[in-house]
Formats: sequence, structure tokens, C-alpha cells
Amino acid sequence: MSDVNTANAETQSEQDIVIKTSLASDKMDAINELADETIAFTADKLNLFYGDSQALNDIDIQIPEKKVTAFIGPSGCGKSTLLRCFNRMNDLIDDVTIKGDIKLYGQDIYERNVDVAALRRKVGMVFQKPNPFPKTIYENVAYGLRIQGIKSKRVIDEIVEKSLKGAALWDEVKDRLNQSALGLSGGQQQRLVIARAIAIQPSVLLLDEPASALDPISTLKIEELINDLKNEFTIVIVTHNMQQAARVSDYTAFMYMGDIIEFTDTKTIFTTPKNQQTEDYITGRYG
Amino acid sequence: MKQDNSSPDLNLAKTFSIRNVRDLITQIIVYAGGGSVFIALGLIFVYLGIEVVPLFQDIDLSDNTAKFDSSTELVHLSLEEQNEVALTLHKSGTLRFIEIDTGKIISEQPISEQKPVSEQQVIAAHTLKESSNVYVLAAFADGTALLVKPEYKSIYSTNTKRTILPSITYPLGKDPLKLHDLDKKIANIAFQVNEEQVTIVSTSSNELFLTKLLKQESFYDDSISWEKSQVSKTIEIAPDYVFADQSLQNIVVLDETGRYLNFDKELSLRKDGDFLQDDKLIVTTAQALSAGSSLLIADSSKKITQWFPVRNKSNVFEYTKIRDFEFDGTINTIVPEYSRKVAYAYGDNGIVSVLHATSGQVLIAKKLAQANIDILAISPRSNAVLVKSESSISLFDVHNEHPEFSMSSIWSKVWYEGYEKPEFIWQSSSSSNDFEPKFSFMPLAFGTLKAAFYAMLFATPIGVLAGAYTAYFMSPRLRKVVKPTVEIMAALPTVILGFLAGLWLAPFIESNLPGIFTAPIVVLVGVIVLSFVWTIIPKTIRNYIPEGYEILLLIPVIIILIWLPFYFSPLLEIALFDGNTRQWLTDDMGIDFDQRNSIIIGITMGIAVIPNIFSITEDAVFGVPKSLTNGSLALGATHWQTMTRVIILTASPAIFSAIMIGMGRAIGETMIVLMATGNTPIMDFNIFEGMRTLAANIAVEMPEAEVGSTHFRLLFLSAFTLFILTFIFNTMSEIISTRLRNKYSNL
Repeated sequence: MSDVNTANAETQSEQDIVIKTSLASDKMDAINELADETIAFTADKLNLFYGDSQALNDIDIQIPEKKVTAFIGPSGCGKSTLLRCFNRMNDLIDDVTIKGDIKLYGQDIYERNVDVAALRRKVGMVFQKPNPFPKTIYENVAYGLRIQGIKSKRVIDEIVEKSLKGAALWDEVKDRLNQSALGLSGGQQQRLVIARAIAIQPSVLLLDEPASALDPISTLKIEELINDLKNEFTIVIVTHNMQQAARVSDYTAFMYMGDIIEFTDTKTIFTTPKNQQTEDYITGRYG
Repeated sequence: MKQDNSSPDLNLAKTFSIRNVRDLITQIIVYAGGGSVFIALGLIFVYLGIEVVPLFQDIDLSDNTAKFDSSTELVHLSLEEQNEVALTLHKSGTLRFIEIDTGKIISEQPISEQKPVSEQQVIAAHTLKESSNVYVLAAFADGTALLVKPEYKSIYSTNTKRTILPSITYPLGKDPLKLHDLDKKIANIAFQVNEEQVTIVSTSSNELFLTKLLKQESFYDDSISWEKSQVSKTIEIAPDYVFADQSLQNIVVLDETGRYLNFDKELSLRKDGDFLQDDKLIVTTAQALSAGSSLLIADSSKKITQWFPVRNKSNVFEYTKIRDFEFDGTINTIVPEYSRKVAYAYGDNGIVSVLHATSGQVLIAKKLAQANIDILAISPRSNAVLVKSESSISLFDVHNEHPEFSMSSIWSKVWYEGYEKPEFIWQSSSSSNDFEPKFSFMPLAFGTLKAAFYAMLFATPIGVLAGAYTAYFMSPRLRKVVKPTVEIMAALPTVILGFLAGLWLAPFIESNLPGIFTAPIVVLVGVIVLSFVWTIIPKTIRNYIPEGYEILLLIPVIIILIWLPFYFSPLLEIALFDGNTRQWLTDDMGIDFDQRNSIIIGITMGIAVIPNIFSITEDAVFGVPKSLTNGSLALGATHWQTMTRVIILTASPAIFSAIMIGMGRAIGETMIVLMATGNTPIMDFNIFEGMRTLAANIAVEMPEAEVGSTHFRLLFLSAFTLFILTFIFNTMSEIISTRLRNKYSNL
């Protein structure tokens, strides 16, 4: 407690220096941890501005392949913003300026000749609130395939079944594939949205607080699902819920005020965080 | 349980306070406001209903109880307009005016002052109403005839009681008119009267006489003399009936077997034939309807058939069977009303049937007398009949204001006199007096839907696409300007649009027809080509235009693309259509062309409807949750795919509502169609012809419709129909969009 007070008592610039220095060391740790991993995403000096206000400051992060990486941090820390950079969903927001670059397997996704639609096919995303289309369950899952121009019913049938099974929803909906997706419960809808996302076989799945609008049982199911999915997909999850991050993720980044304060393997960050702020957040002192 | 002393003060009773009073007052005002809307709506329905219901009321014949004795045999019976005084012409030649209520004889005189009483025996009489006058032509045994005209003068004495003073006048003078020689007894007689002449057709065994009396006015004094001329002709049959229509185009004689001869006004034979195909049947009676061109032939098979001249394939008018009416007993007398196509028919059982010829209905059959009816007279206003039976004459009140109306007469084809086949016609008035109004709603309903169709054809794509574009693709700052601007267009007075359409657009389009047809194609192709060019322009140049503002570049392009076809229109016209497209359409293609046609309506009413469709569509598309859009984009869909597969689908209930509301507006729209259509009630889907809509029809005709007339009530019924039509469209849109909403919107 007293440490926090002293930290708060310090001037802003001093604090910045402290954070920056700690960052440098943390980053080293993270890179060491990730040495054994194949890297999917690499962000390098990523800065993001909403108009004049900076939301992300010089973010450097590497997302390991076929692992679950969690972003945690208090509201407004920029974790969702960072997540949306990976499939360029921020492009849809007016007045966003992005500097620095993000590479997916070495290819810069912000380069001019990148087809955003193709990128998003590779980097799927699931949002906080379930957003099934007002179509049947079947058509929801088939949507991503249809927009790619796949017409063969046999192929689509197969992928729909596989995706619904992959999203652990098949048994619950197999008898009503032609009913409206809006008739499903919130948890089912969220798994349907996941099925829809994996149907187009992306390599990365971005999950933006996928369970925050769900009841505990549905949350549990989603978490189990994430556990299953990481064998096939690189998963990045933003969550408010630290227990959830602890339960599902392999690596965790703690963000605060647009900075990554600490990024390391989940076990380490929850047991022996190097940074005081991380510890304060994890132990529930603020956030 | 232990009582807790420190329990809080729980005084929940209502107390008087300003706050509560305000609450109450507000509540009352809100309820009153809402309620009065419903009441007002209900009152509209009630008022329309009150005006419309009499159309559907059945005819009513009821005994007035006024009754007087008359034992001698009558050859003529009539009554004046107030139904207070009756005129009887006895076989003996006595004319008698009788007060109907009391049976008091007002005056009595011999029909002719010249003739000795013994020669006054009337052997035939024919009654005719021309304008507001009733004429009676009485024929005597010596081959002479006398035209008399009863006149009634209303006198108001000091106590404001009205007395009717009847008198007899002789329009052709008091001298009996010699029609036949002494030995040729008048068998049948008919006549027509107009301003200039009196024409009498008479028969004697197998001779037909046509006597014309031309009016000669002296230049010195105002005295009138009549110049008589006569033609006669021997004919093959001994006719039992003779008829002459008002225009004297057709003079028809027929005998009991139904065989007829049809002469023109010079007495040359035009056509002969048989009204009864079956030889076993005989004609029990025949009568001409008012204006004389329709003949009702009653035969021994208890039927009445209606015939009138119809142009046949060889371009000759030939009496054609139009329709028939069946009765329970044989009909031996038919009495036509003076001005409508209504006739009273009866046999010898005292049952009187009332039929309306054009609508083909027998309106009522009612027993009016216990015994045989000797003679029946219809009041000039058609609101009473006098019936003589068993030496007494009784008055019956008739309520038969709208005999021509029936649901089938307004919604299905009707065969009107003089037409070649049954048709849908709306023609409510004419310059002629004895014109039969034709009330078919079909051309109007058709016109309404046609106008709405062309307007929607123009407005729906533009409104929906513009709305979708503005909501989804346009930059927010531009959207803030564009949306209210388009919405303000809805407030444009339609009278201005109609005025511009009728006076500027219609002549402009008429003279630039090739332009109007090439413009949409040129604009469409041009925009697509330019959009493609835009995508291959280097990004460095494109970046000068901020995202969402590209649309502004299209404005000059579209203006040029619209201008181009019109600029080249005259050249095109010369090259392809011999320099006059309109003539080319009419002569070479056989397509009728009106200057004020459906293209004008499509464009003008389209412009009036676009803001409604645009506004609702825009709201709907804008209201599609961002989560859905993002969900689609995150799956790798392009903006266009997202738009067509997710956004339009989700917004579809509201877009459907938008179209339906636009449709409702187009159907009810009055001013534009009134000013820019030409208002011709025709049923033709041709885009180059105009139409008359229900709404415009009401606006055009309401001021001239006589209050309480069938026409007047039918206009109310058409208003009601319009109400129902828009009601159906709005309800349908509401139901469908609610269902769609339930399906798509619990997101």
C-alpha cells in the first residue's frame, strides 16, 4: 500500500522513466520466454491516435503462434484498441492514425497493397456482445464461405458441421440449423459467432472480451472452447476478468494507459509479477 | 413478535400537493389528446358512412294511404312534381285534375273544345317528358290527334300554404291535327318533341306515317305557326307497337310475333329482324326506355329483354339483345320512368316489379293491388307512383334514389346504351340532358394504381439506394447536410410540383422524347464507367478527395450525363424517328400519346415520394447495429458484401415500410396527378397515356356533384375506397414489417 502511495506521489515524468525502464527489462523477459515459440504477430513501435489523443504508445509485442495470449488491464488502457489493430478494424473508426507497423508472419499488414478483406479472413474476430446475423444458424456459419464465393453445398455443409463441432455447439443446434440464430441463448450465440469465425479457417482468432456479456456457465463453456481451439489457432483474448486470463491464457500482457507494462507467461505474471503496477492490478488494488 | 418502537414513519396515503395535481392534469390532457385523435378518425368514418349508406339501401315502395275513386276507363294518368295533383284522361275524352289527398276534382274539361263530344273518344295516348315538361298526345277515332301539355302553377297565399293551379295548354294549337285519312284508323302512335319540331309516328294496319311539324316563328310578331309535312309508307307487317327514339335515328315497328322493322328518319328501311327467336313466343308488351333508344320487349316466357342498336361488323347499327330480366308472371305492361333507365313492369296479378335496365337488376317486386292494375303513372321526380286498380287510384311513395348503383355496376363491366360491348367507364356528366351517367370505379382504381406504380418505379430505386448510400458510405459530415436537405424536399408543396410538371416538364418531355429514354441508360452506364475509372486513378490523386466525399464528384458528372442525351435528342429524333418521335409513336407504332402522361407522373410524383422513402431507409440502414457490420467485416466481407448481405437484410423491415409508406403517399396524392395527368379515366397501361386517379377524381368532380345524388354519394364511396386502399397498404406494411422485425431485430 505504502509503495503505491509513494509511486503516486512521484512526479509524472519520474514515473514514466520508472515504467520505461521496467518495460525494457520486461520486454527482454518476454522475448526470452517466447524464444521457443513461433511468432505470429509482431508489433513494432506501434502508435495509435484517436484524433489528437494518443491511445497506444510505442507498443512492441510478439504474439506466439497457437498459444493463447491475454491482454489485461483497466478500462480504457488500450487493450481492445491494440487487439483491433491486428485485423485493422480500427480502419473503420474515423480519425484514427496509426504509426509503426504490425507484421503477420513477417508481412506488414498496414502496407498499402494489403487487401484488408483478405487479412480479416486470416485474422478472425469475436466481439464482446454476440452478434449473429439475422439469418439461420446454418447461414450464419456459412456466411464467411459464401462471401468468398464458395457455392458447393457439400463443401459448405461439411465446413458448417465441422465449425459448429469445433465451437462445441453442434449437439445443441444440429436439429435446428434452419432456425433463426436469434433464437439461441447468449452463450450459444457467442459460440455460434466463434463457429462462424473459425469456419473460414483463419490462422488467428481475436477475442474481444468474449465472455463478459455471458452468465458463468456460458463463460465456462467459452473458456473450455478457447482451450480446445488453441491447438489449431493463434488466439489473442482481451479480458477484464483476471481469473479468466489466468485460466485460459499461456501468455499475458498487462496494459496501462496505452503502454504494455508487463508481458510474460501467464504463470509468472500472476505469481511473481515484476512490475509493481501489475501486482497492484492483479491483486485488485485498482482497475 | 417484538414491536420495534423505532419503525420509520410510513405514511403512504395520497396527499394533496401541486405535484400530484400537475401530474393529474398532464395525464388528462395527454389522454384527451390521444382520445380525440381516435374520435376524429372515427367521425371521418361515420361521416363517409352516412353519405355512402343510402347507396346500399334497397328500394322502398310504400302505401301513402292517399286514395281516390275513379271508375271510368282511363287512357292516361299522370301527376305533377309535388305529387299533389293527378291528371286523368278518360276514354270519353274528359281531362280531369284531381287533388290526390282528398280526391277532390279541381277542374274538368273536354280534351278538345273544337270537337263535338261524341267525337272526343280517345283511342290511344302517348306520354313523353321532354326537359321538365310532360306532353300527352291523344289520338281520336277520326284519324286526328291533339297534343296537350298540363301546366301546374304554384300559388302561395298569405298563410304560406301552397296551392297548385293546374291548367291545360295546347302547344300545337287547339285544333286537332289531322294525321290519317278518315278511313285509316290510328292504331299506334309515338312522338318526340324538341325545341324546333314535333315528330309524330303513327300506324294504321300496315301503313306507317311520319308527321313532322316544324316551328315557324313570325318575324313581325311573336306568333308561332307549325309547318306540317308527312311521309307514309306501306309496310309488310301490321304493327302492334311503334317507337321513335329521341334523335329520330331509329323508328321501330313490331308486331306480336316479335318481328320488327327498323327505319331511319326518312322512313327508309335500315334493318329488319325478330326480337323473339322462338316462334312459339309472343310479345306481351313492348316499351321504350327514356330517350327511346332502348326497347324492352316482354314475351310470353315471363321475360323482358333489352335491345338497343349496336354497331355490327359491317358498320351498321343493329338492334342487339343486351340482357334479360326474369319474372314470376307474364308482364303485360311496362311503364318507363321519365329520365332514368328504370321501368315498372306488371302483369295481371297486381305485383309491380321495378327494374333498372343498365345495371340489369330487378330492384323490387311488390304487390301493390289486390286485383288487376289498370294503369300506373310515375311521378316526374320518380318519388311516387299512382296505381289504378278496381276503380280507385292510390298513391305509393317510392324511395329509389340510386337504382343505377350496385357493387357489380361499379366494379365490373357494364353494357351502356350505344356502346359496342360491356365496358368499364367513368363518365359522370355530359352536355346532354338525357345522358346516362356511367360510374365504374375500375378506370379510377386502375389509374390510381398506375400512377402509383410509375411513381414507385422511379422513386423506389433512387430513394432506397440514396438512403442506403447516405447512411452507410457517406462521410458523417456530408450526411449531416444531405439528410435534412432531402427531408425538406418532402415539405415542397405538391401544387408547385404539379404545376411545374404540367406546364414545363410535360411539353419539355414531349419535344425531347429520345432524350428521356436515353438519359437513364447514359447516366447508369456513365456512372458505372466513371466509378471504374476512379478505382484505377492513382491513389495520390484520389487522396485529394477525403473519403466519403467522392459522391460530390458525381454531381457535375450526372448533370453532364443528363444534359448530353437532351442535347443530342433533336439529332437522334431526326436520325431515327423522322424528326418527330411523337408522330412516329402514334403512326408507326400505333401507340397513343398524351402530353401529360405516366412518364410525367412517374418523375414528378416520384420526386414527391423520394424524401419519404429516403428518410425511412436512411434511418433504418443507419440503425443497423455496428456490431453486425463489424461482424461481417471481421469475417473478411467487403463493404459491398456487408451492405447487400447483412445491412439490407437487417434493415429490410423498415425499408419495406418505407416503400409501403411511399406507395400510400403515391396513392393518396392529389395535386400532382390532378395537374399533370390530363385526368382521362381510361384503362390503359401505356406509359404514354395519362390516367385519372380516385383522389384527383374527387377533387375534380366534388364541386359539380349535386348534393345527395348518386354521383355525389359515389364520390364519397370512392373516398372511402381510397381510404380503404391506403389503409390496406399501411396495414399490410405494418404487419409485414412487424413480422420481419420480430424475425430480424432482437439483436
